[in-house]
Amino acid sequence: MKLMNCPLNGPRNISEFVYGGEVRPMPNQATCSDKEWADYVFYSDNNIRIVKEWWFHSPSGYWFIAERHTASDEIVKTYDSSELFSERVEFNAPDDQPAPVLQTEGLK
Amino acid sequence: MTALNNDFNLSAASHLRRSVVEVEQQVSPNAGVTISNHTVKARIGFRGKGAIAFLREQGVTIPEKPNQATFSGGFAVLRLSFTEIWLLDIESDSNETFEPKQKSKSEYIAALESAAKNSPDVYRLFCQHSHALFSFNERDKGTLANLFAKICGVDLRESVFPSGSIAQTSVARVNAVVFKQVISEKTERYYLLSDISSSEYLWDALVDAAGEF
Amino acid sequence: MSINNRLSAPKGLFINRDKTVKFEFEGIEHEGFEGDTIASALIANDQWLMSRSFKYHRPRGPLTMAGQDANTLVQLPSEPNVLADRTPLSNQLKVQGQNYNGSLENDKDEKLGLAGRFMPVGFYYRSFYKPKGVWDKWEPFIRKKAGLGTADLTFDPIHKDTDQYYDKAYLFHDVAVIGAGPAGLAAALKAADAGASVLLVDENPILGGALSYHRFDVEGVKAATLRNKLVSRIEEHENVQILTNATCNGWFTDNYLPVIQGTRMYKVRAKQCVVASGAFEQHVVFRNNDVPGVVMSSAAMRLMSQYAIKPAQRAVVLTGNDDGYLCALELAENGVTVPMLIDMRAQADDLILIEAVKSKGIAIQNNATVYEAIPSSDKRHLAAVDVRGIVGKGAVAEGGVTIPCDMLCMSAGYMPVYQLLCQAGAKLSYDDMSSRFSLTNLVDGLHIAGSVNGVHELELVVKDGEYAASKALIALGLEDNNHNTATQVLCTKQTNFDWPIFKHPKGKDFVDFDEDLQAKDIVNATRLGYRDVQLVKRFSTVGMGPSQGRHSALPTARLVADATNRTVTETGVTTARPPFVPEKLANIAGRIFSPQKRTPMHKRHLELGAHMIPAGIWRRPAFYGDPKNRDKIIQQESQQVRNGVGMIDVSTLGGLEIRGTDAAEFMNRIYTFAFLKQPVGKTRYAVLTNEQGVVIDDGVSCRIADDHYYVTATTSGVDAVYREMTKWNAQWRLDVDITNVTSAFAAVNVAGPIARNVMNKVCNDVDFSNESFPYLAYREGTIEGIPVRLMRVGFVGELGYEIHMPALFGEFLWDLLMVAGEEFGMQPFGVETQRLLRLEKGHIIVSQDTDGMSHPGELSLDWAISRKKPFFVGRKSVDIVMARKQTRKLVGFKLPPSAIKPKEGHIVLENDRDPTCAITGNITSSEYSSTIGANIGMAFVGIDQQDVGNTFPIRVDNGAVVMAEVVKLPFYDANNDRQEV
Repeated sequence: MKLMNCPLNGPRNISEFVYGGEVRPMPNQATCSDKEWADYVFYSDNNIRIVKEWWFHSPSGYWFIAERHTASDEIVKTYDSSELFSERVEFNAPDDQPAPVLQTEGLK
Repeated sequence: MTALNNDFNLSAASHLRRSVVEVEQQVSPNAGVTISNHTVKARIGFRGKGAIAFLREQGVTIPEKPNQATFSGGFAVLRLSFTEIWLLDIESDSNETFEPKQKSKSEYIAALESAAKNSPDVYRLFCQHSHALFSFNERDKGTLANLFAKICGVDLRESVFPSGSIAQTSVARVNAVVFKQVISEKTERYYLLSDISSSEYLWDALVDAAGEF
Repeated sequence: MSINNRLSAPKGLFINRDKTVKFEFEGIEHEGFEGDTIASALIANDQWLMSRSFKYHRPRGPLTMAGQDANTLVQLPSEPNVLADRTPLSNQLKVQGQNYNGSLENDKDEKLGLAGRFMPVGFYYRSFYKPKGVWDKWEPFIRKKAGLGTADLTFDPIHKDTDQYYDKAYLFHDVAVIGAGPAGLAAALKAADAGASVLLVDENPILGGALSYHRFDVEGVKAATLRNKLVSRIEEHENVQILTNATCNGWFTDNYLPVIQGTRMYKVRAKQCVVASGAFEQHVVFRNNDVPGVVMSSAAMRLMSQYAIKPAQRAVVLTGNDDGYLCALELAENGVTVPMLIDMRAQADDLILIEAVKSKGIAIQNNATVYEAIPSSDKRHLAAVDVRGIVGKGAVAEGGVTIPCDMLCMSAGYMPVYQLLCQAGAKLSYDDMSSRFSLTNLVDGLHIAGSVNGVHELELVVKDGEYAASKALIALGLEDNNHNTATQVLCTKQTNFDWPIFKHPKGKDFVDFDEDLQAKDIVNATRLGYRDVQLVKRFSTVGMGPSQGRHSALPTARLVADATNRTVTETGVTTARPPFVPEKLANIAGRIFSPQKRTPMHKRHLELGAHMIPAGIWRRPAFYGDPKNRDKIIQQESQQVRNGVGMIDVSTLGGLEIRGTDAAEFMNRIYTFAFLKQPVGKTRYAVLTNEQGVVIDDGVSCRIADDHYYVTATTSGVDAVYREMTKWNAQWRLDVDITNVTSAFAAVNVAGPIARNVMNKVCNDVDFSNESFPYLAYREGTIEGIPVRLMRVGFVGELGYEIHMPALFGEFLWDLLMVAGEEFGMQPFGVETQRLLRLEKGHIIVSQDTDGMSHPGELSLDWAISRKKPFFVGRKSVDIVMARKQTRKLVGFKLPPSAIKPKEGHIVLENDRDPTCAITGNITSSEYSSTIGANIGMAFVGIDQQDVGNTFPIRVDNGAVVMAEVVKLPFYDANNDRQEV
């Protein structure tokens, strides 16, 4: 079984961790197109390279970042998520977002 | 807004606590291992930016790094992350009391819980009720390391896991916090905290694993 | 047993001559010594025939004496397919042959061999695929013929009172050394001396590997001397843990090594691993090379050195290297007549060796081979060999000489035991010019030493072991790269003869003994177009038997290369996968861990006769009573709640504490509803969507203080919800603490028109009047000094209170409430009853009434979505999918009680006329309701089937179609008159 080095707990069996997906910037919902949003939600690049991923150490409830090579599966490094996310994130009011028309209601 | 009676004390009614595991102690067939159940004893946890400062103010010595434990006065102080500390009433080797001013360990924990309520950035945790606490004593050194090797994927031998070490890991496929106290050159003592709801399952698995010792 | 058959000490390293062991083989009693394997004891009793071959039922005896072939598979009383040359003898052991029709000696299926030409390679694939159905007729017959042994169906792998207890344990070491031959011993010793903790694993009962049987010099003293020196030091070394009779059965990432020793599987974690697994001696392909008495040279030497057995009276040696000469010396010195040593090479290099052999009166025949082994008239043993001159690659001269003998020892060369290394991604290459193998591309932390590394000269083998250890020590930081003394070695000793394959027109020249595959079978596979060695394997089954290509891989690669005009390197060998040796299911299925969660009231449910069912990892009462009366009990329990008062254990409900100055902001971002202005002391329904806009969980949010929420989640969903919450906040960095308190709280729901009476009786510091504690309010109070959280919720559609209590009080409060409720006739009810009650009320259960595509619009949850806030997880997706044309809708439906009750999962059809019409949805919930007097349920239906009053077809079991009517939800108490009282 593969080992992963948890920044808080040290090397552990990979079975102690839960994968949390690739670290990807979320497009601004208020301004992005539906296609850009769909791209963010549904598509992944799936390239051979080192990717940044979210991993969760289940026994300690700790999220961190791992950099992993998608072909060799080598985990290059792991670190606390604060190294990537240190600023408080705000969402602004969607002034330019039109209220969606609900088809369900329209049909009734 | 309606104000609520905000006096929800987790350390209340200590005399009414019941452990799901009803056994208090189990000695393995060849008397190599004794497993004890401390689930109803007092404990409390705190987390948050202000947790460490608050506990230091209360006179608690905090381990320097995460995943380290200290022992004094029949209590174990566990540092589980940079900002998370648990205090546990563990079995005591002598009759010493933690604080002469306190009547009992239970009252000490209750007093800490009350004191924390008005401290900024201190969040009381729920380990009194969310976790079971078991301890393990061995007759001969190394037995417990071998016992845990049957149920846990972390090397707990003294050379790499000395007294005061904490492993937040998986034991018999449930999440657990394992920590160690070296009692003497001849024996070690292990403690295990795990989810109360799977504690009966885990107790049975532990007793089974101890069967050969 | 004839003692005279045994050689004198020091021969017989494995056996204890002081202890005689009695056993039975095929009903006949024999004797052996402690330390004997079944096979060695049988050979000591002149019983060479041990099994029948898989396909042709040919008589077979030991080939390797090391468990590397399938020729010694026997049946024990409770275990089939036991390797007789691996399994130690035990007193009164009853051993039977297997895979025969009649008896081992007289197998009626032996004639199958005569029909061999009618069973060509790929026979099964090519013969039984048409006409359609023919396989069904043949299968039972073929299975009976092909089956090996009889399994003990009463076997219990965790029988505590016996030693039959299969389990697993971790072992942690700095260095694991696999194989305790000279290379492994040297590596282990060097690593241990440097301070590393070392695990030494060997499949034999004693350490030494080849040192315990092989002869390395003319005088025959080197092996024992070196073995004594290394083993005595290793055995007393405090840094070394030794596992003998143990097999490393695979290599997994980061040196995770399963090592099986008897009933225990060790899961070894080694920082560094040295594989010194040795090499498998290879056979020569010629006609009848499977006749008992035809063995590897190493097998003959094992018989002599390890078991003190004189293996034959007259033995011929057939070799392609110098090791055959050493074998001939060993045989001669132990009283075996060796009339001839046949060397396939034109000339041996070592003149001293040649002279030594000649001095024993052994004739050396160069440039020759055995063309055919001639069995005795009863076909049970070797009687003579037909020796021919070699005139070309695989070609022999017309005439030859016949030499009577009862043993033939073969030394065609060695194949590295590459399995573990190739599992780790190493590349096996073969040099067609020198016939040498090499293993390259080793991963970090994995090292290789000894004959597996192509090093065969004893002194160099030891040095190679030390070199491997040195590399491991440098990686561990225990040795300085600049000051290490070990250096890489280069061994030029030639051990492999390049073409030890001599096809015979009449066949039975076996490449694979397990599967009875002859040279022509492999060649024919290539002629049928299977050029790739992997395809040859799958078509011919070569290498698929128990020995997994240990002997067949190399001749197969050579034959395929030759037939396809390629090199062996180009052809390659088939992939080696774990396990290395056959693994008992008991080793995997013995003691396993199946965690189970129980609520604090679990024992009470059992006492009350609850029928417990799994709910994820939890156990919950489905209802209280005999499952035979399920339907009746559920209606009774539901009427109890509708007309009186009932209590259900809802401790499994997820619970999350959200605290901090940003608690409200956080709730607002996570859940779809608006939470900023949720009043303290009030609850609010909370729906969670994921980024795709799919509803993934729901719960009730209680605002305890401005900066404190307690929110419930579904039993199965809470862990994922907690992960999502903490992951989001790792990005948002809000000032909020998120705690999963699911296990910290036990909870019950006291529900029914007279629930308030029970509450008033037990809790004195809360006013339970409707004015003071209205529907959807949240309060805190105490019961007997125990703090409780109280919510007035309406999941089951009656006046009801959820009481959340710290878990250690769960059982106490359950008891207290049961006693308090007695005078009001309160009864417990189970989760299946609760499902019916909430269905009557039209409440969905996320993951039962929703699936991986369900967005809020389909579930009519539009009301629970706030569009006045800038963000919630999944908002953009919800907006997009809800703006598109909808395709389905979750609706309530009803059928008359006389109609067939649809089951959850039954499909909804577009219409009831056309059997090929589209599927528009499915049933998500369905139950008979005595309150409504009808079969009711919820279903996804097509968007144009959703109107109230519309009927839609459901295909139920056996293809029958029933019509259901769409009903407005809820089925029961549409105005909430019953819960808001």
